[in-house]
Amino acid sequence: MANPAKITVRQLAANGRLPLPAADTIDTTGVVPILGADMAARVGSLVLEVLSTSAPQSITVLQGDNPPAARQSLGNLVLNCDAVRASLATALAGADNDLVFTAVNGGVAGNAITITYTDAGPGQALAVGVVGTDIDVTLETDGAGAIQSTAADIATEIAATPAAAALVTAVNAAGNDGSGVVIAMVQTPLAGGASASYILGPFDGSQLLQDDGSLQLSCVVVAGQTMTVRCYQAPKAV
Amino acid sequence: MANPANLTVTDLVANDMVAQPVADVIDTDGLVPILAADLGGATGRIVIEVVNGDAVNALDVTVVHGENPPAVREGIGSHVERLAASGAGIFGPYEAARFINADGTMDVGFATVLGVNATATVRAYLLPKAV
Repeated sequence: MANPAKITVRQLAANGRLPLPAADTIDTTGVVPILGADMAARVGSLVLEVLSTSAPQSITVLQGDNPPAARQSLGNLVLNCDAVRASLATALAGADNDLVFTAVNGGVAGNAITITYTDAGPGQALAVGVVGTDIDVTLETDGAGAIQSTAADIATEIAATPAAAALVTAVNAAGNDGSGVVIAMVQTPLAGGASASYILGPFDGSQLLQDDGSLQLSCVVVAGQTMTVRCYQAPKAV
Repeated sequence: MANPANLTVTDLVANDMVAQPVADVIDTDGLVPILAADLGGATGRIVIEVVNGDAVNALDVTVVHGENPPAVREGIGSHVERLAASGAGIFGPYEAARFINADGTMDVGFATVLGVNATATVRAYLLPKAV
């Protein structure tokens, strides 16, 4: 895997049509330029269309050089291009015992994560096991088999288990304070994870233009995921 | 089936980003305007993304010439492009002197080649005035 040497700039056609071009694929965290020669340093007419397959992913347009960027002290322009994170809000019987699990990484991959609360019988300690993307919470029980684990206990245990914390975060659901004892829950997947598209720009050259006429895009990409980018430039005058 | 009353225009913001908007859905041959209030006379900053949703039939997209006045060059005519089946294109920006109507609107037409109703998704963006 490797990023392209530069982002390809497509010139929009005044009173015309540009066929939808192939996208550049960013698959590695790093800096990719938009060359000055490709856009005549006219960053005020540049627009990026970005499809992000995960989160956290971002494009930071690095501050320019002064000269020519007299306002470069305004700093970098950070644009978060997060895909939608999958989530699961439990709806257990009882009060104050519901959690919202949210995938750490956005995108459709989060929909493969599952949560199970297992009642394994009397005398169990609270434990979190992870196999692949399946998180199994063994609930604490007393000697009579009564469940003792609260939602807050589970959230804490999830956060303290690296393999689980790498997959999800868990917080109290709205209207819940986490003090309620949970019940067993069959294996339930997170849902709603999806790619997301954004339109970035145009950009202020007096802040972001490099002295070689380029823009420098610092891209953060989750391992194994991508951002696809199409870059368009509007004509100078219509 | 009905086309939207007008194409939705998403304003792009300098040094910022917007989530890709939900596309307008075209399901019928015909003209759909971009409203004057959305366009602000700035045909020179409008960009229209059209995706032909028909996997069999080509789609003719027509940006219709304006009225004179104010479009003194309307006699050059409309801009007509044919999108292949499942094809997509980025249209514009456009010259006001050719394409704007007397009421400040701009009309975009959709028609399939073989007479079945058009199926397309459309997103229109307005670039900011100056950056």
